[in-house]
Amino acid sequence: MTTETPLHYLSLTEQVKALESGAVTAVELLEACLSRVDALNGQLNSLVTVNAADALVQAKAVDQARSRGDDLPPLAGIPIAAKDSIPTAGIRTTDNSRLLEHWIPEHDAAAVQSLKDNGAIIIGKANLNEFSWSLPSEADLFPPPWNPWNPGYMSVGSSSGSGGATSAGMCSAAIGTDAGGSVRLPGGAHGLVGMKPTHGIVSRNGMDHNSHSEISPLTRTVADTALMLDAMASYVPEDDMSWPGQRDHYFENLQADISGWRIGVPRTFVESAPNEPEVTHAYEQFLTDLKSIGCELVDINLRGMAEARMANFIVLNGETYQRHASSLKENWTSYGPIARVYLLQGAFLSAEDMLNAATVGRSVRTYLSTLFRDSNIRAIATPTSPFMTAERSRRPGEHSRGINACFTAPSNITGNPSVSIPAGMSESTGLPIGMMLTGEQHDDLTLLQLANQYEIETEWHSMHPSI
Amino acid sequence: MTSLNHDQIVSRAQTLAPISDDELNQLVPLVSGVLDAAVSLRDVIPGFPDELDASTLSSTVEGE
Repeated sequence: MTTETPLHYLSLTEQVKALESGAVTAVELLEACLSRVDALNGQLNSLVTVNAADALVQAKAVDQARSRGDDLPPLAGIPIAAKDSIPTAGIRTTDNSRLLEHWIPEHDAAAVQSLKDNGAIIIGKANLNEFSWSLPSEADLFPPPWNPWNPGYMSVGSSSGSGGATSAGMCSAAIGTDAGGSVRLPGGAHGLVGMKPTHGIVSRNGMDHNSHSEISPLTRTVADTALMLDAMASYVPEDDMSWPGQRDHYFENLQADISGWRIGVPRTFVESAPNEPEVTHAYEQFLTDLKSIGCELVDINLRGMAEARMANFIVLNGETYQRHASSLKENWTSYGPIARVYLLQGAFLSAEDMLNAATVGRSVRTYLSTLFRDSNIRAIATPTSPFMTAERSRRPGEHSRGINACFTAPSNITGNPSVSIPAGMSESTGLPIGMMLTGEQHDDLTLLQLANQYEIETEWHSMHPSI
Repeated sequence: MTSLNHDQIVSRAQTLAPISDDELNQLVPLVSGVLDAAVSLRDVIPGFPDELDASTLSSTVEGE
């Protein structure tokens, strides 16, 4: 933190300290974020609903409680944006679809409730691809969001607005959903930390979701992600996929001596992707930097990633169609012109296809556990995406096969934790480049410790859009 | 579902939604991609009672 860093660009962790010390008030922090919204959202479309009046009431209440000397929760007064697919009580939740244009949920999703219980204030709802699926389109309920780093490019999705709002300083952090990379991909393209936690760590109770979609934070630093996960992770008995076991305290245990930690480098797999040259360059630098901070790089022959990606793709398509089948028939023109075509794909899959996909997911999950154990590795290092822009990700023939998610999607169906961290900057586009670390099930803390040490030794996370 | 040709995809889609000709032209390659993925997975599932060993699966992004 430098004295020149404006309040809206301080990390969430720094903002918490500033609030606790009395250096700033919750109202001042909220107004700093709302000023960014006022100045930029008309251009960027990051937020589709701004909850200014209600947020201001909550911020004033936090300040009053703090002035009374009340014991406050860790995120007291922190403005958070939530992807508009995640229900928020009393705040419109549209999924960027005309079908839900006027839906105001009565209840929060469990993850939102957890954040509120920890003091967070919902500042607004973030733009997304319609139903977190398909491609952004001007014909959607809300037009696509643009990347604050270079507004000539779209924000990468599907948690596109969550990435844009966080990187532009409209909020302290955001939550999105990651079913194939939809938090890690915007994390990479917005210079943010985007972490998909182990399956079941953060409950999806209270929202429509795919089996392998995880509610995930987008933040400006690794410590911020640790604080957010501490607040979001909880066991929800009503959720049959919620993890009941003991979980780590991420923020408290973030510092670790990572000397000698072995990192798997799957060169054959990574080099088989159609990586853009600047991504390849950033990956090589990432490996060099991991080595320089004390890690030991280990060549591994990583297998089954293409099959896992395809399996995830099949499950996503099948489940999404199942949810929308009757509605598509009845409300075809109420869906966006791109979304309705994409949503129909899953109708052509059979029960056997779905079960084959589940079998592949289980098999690759077991294989990865064996690989982590037998190779004695703490994480696997890959780029976050072979491509730097949303536009490049859409090339016909590649997009339909999910090539843009070739590094991210496998860990959705296996459930492994995976984090994208800022690790480069493209000179040709002006956009950040992310690199990714994927770990063993329920070893989210190791990924955070590793990413934190990398962040301490590099400067990428301290860069902000000049907008 | 087994692989479908263009006409079979069109015919089935028209029973599922009031889809236009232009939309059908967008849908067909998407469905072909999904079904290709399904066929690829079917090819790696061993016959009963063998179990899938993922260490024998592909090592490239293209599934090779």
